[in-house]
Amino acid sequence: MRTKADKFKWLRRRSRKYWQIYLLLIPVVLWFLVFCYYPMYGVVVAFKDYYPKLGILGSPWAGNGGLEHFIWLFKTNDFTRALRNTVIISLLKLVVCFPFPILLSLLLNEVVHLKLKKTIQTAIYLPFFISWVVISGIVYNIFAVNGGIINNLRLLLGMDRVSYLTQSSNFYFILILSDIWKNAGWGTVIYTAGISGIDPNFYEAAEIDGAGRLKKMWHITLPSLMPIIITMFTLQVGNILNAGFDAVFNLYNASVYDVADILDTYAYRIGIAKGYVERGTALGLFKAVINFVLLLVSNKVVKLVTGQGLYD
Amino acid sequence: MIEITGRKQKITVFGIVNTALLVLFGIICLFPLVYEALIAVASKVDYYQSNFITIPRHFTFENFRFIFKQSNIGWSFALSLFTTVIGTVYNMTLTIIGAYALSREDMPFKKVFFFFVLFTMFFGGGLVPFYLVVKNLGLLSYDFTSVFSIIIPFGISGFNMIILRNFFRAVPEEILEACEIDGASQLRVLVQFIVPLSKAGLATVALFYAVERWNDWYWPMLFITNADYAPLALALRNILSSNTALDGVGGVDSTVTFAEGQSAATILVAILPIVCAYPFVQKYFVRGVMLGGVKS
Repeated sequence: MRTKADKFKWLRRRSRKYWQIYLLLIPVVLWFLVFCYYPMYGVVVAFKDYYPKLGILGSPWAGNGGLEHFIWLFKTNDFTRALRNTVIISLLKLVVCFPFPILLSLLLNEVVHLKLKKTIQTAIYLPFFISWVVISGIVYNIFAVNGGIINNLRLLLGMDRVSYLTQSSNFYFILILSDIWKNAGWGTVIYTAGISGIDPNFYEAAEIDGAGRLKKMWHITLPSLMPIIITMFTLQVGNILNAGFDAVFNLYNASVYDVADILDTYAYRIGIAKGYVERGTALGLFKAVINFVLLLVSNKVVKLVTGQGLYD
Repeated sequence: MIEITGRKQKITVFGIVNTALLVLFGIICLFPLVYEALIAVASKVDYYQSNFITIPRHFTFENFRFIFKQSNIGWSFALSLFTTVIGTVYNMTLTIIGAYALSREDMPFKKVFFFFVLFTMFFGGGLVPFYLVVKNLGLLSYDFTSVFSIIIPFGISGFNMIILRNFFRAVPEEILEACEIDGASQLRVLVQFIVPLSKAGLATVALFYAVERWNDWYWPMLFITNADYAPLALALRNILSSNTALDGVGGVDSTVTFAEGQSAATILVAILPIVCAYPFVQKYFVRGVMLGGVKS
């Protein structure tokens, strides 16, 4: 058994071995402290009436025992609306967008011609690398009232023009559609990786039993992917409060706020655009705390399912 | 697996339907970009007379000329290149150091550092406190230095650091032990062995950073108040949201150029570097996801 003194000696020797790395780590740690940890301390602003001149510590506590801004927040309809929209959009993505990459990777696995498969993969991965600013520009062009392809098609079919982007009823449709366009193809990467790890003996055994391709897909490929599917699903449930700021912010406008405004866009508007620093911070903190708990829980679930934490 | 063993597959109805579905989806993925290209090189008449897809019968570069003349797109493009290159180098320097520390099992306080990083991936102060930090550091100036407000605060992504750590871990332990027996310092091990042996991993992570920087419009929107220093993605956003066809700009024919064509042209300029580089670097991204993502 090692004594305390031994352990100390060991630690010292090891530390000496790594002194250069510790030195190099200083700027890294500093960066984390300034840009990640200091803002965590900055959430105190949510409980204060913030005066920039007085600083965070010097500013007086907010009314109602510091909870003034939270009370304001929970009372406004805009907040409840944003919370509702966030959950609705996340759930829609979970139900509609989530299965897409799984289905695609199952189909891709059945393409025998390797070159064709590569070509398809190249095509379907590409949209992932295009920013939401560009996508919103494309969406505006495609759905343009005048000259956009969708409205041209409607005219050809004898229907009236529709102003898709200013109608609340169409917002989710457009959002989900563009989300699938951007992410479904790229999402297959992780499942394709999983499929490539399946033991070929399973397939051979199934073939001997006379299983066709569909049967093999259903009874071997899909069950083998289950741990990955469950992991991805859990992660997405853990991220339910992140409905995707970039997408919504670039696609929405004031006429669809009732269905499109999410917690992140609302925090941006009150905290930055309108300058209510404390309310914006309070909203951010509310989101961060719930998010934190959800992520911890989902990480635990993943650990239970796969026997390994996400990041170990 | 069947492909590898070289056994011939029969052409089946299932195979045909399957391939057709996938090809269709592939076309859907590429079509919007082609559509934008068609609009960008079309003239006003082509666009408004089209009754389905715009066909550029009067092929023109007037839309491109317009955006380069009117909106300083060329300058924004250069600025984006600058922030992407400098920013990615900055990202990589910090990330390599952190990832190396995380990859060394016997380094004291490694666990502490790991949780120090991990915690930031689960919890954050939120938008407003972060904004205040950047503001209080004096990064939000009105001159060129404001460009650094979109570089310095975005040094490390914990996710990328962990991907890179996984690549570093793949370097055979024997090599490192041999170095240590030869008395190489840790700095030398990192610079002369780990980094050259992890080129693929470094490329992957650098590309993740670079794409993110190239596409970033949000932080520039918050931090760069002077429109003269707007990088390309933000300039594009400004053009799209103003979306007014301007007439009579010197030497540009306003009977040819039109608002939709101008935004399409801007979109093409913005995605050009990505589309050009993409076929060559795609494999690095794929590898990165496999290593950094979920392990089955």
